[in-house]
Amino acid sequence: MPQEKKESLVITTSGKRSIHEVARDLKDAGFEVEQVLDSINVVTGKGDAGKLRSVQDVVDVSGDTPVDIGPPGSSVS
Amino acid sequence: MATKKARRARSENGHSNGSSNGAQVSTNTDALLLAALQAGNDAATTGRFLVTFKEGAAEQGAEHLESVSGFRTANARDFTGQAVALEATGDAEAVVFPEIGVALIGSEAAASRGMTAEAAIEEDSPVQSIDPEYFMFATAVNTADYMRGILRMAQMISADLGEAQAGAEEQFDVSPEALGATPGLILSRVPFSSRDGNGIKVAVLDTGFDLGHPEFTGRSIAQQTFVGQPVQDLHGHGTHTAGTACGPKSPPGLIPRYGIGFRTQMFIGKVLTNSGSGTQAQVLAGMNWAIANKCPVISMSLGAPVPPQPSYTAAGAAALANGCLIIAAAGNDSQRPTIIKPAIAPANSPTVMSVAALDINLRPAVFSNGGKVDISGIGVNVFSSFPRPTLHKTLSGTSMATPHVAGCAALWAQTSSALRGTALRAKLIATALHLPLPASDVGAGLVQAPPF
Repeated sequence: MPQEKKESLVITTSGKRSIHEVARDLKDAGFEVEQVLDSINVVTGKGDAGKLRSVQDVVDVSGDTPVDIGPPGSSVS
Repeated sequence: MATKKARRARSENGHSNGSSNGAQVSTNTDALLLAALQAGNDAATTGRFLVTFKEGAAEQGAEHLESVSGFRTANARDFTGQAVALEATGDAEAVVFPEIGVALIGSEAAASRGMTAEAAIEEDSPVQSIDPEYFMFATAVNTADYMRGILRMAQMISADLGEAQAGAEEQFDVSPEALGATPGLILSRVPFSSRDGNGIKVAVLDTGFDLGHPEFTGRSIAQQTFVGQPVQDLHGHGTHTAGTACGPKSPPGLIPRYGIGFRTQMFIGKVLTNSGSGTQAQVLAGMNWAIANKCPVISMSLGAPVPPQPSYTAAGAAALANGCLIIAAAGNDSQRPTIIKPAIAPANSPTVMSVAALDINLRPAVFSNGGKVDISGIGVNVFSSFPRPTLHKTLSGTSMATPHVAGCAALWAQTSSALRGTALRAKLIATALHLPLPASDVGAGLVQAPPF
């Protein structure tokens, strides 16, 4: 049994059907849904990217990336 | 014949570059610029055209371009997350952006079909307007004259305050105290606008806000955290950026005006922790919240040096579709003039407005990223609010330039309920102070407040 690879993911959907339906399909495909962002058609959570790209109305599956503005006190931000 | 007609039409319009330069939709900006410069004159147009479809007629318009006009068409929807790389559109003669209802037409394709900006548009056509695509480059504004005007105005304000010093004519004091407002506000002509942003919701997605800052007492502040920490800002960055976009008109004592939309409704989304970091998912959650709350202006002084993200592009498109405009920092990774790094995400998404930083001499800040830049704001030595007990601080970065654009966007949004989403973006670009610098450094130029 290969070990399942779970990573934090950002999934962009097409908006062609209810995002809640897409989220349910993602859950059925093993995705741990954390946020359903229905104003921007994005679902976030943890799972194996390779298994989720084929879910209907999934447009993109990307790893969650860190975002920053630099530490407090930095001169340029 | 058709080619000749198109050329003549552009000449009459005063924007001719002398010849059709063969610009395809996939031609990169450098090549377009080179062709335009080689053609001589003072090239203002790329030779390409932007077709704007009537509201709700984007699908019909795309169909019209293909079947009636016979253009080989690429559609943004064919790209993952609609992140269109124009260079990757191959031999397409037109690229349709269905979410914003615009198509870009290559110059040869336009010329061969007699397309001009002056062509009469039939009433039942899905097309609303046909406009030349402009370089945001080398326009007729004389920056030196403009700066002299600004200095004269500032001297008058300074004299009004009774603070004019002997010899001010020769050695001008550009300190915020002398100006009565920060240089960033003056150069964007904020003090000369009668607008205050009243009724406009401005979302600032950042490290939160000092909710007890004495200069914001009585302000309407909606707040939400997305990082599991209270919205109260222990970092300072969010209080500074929100201060520029939404701060008071008349801070107490000798503190200069540093805020633009002083009667805006503030929506503070904490998407970065008190250490100044977060994740894309948290940032997206903040964008979702701001759009769900129909904030016409969403200011984002944050990012990551990664390629355009489909999720951000989708969020930007959703924002525009809901009458919201996302304004984001281009990033501070450059060391000009030797190293110019590309704009970061989310600013690098086509549906997000990307802001570069200028210094008060209207030159790109040494750190300011380039490439996908839409507009600029002052971002060097920017004075604004900071959490208690400090109250104020002077900081630099495209983070500081961004809320200058967001604040001015709120003022423009107040002038007309039609100025939302793409229309608001177009207004900011059309009214920016053009600078004799490449668009890849400064975009359309320095953001300007409404002059009324």
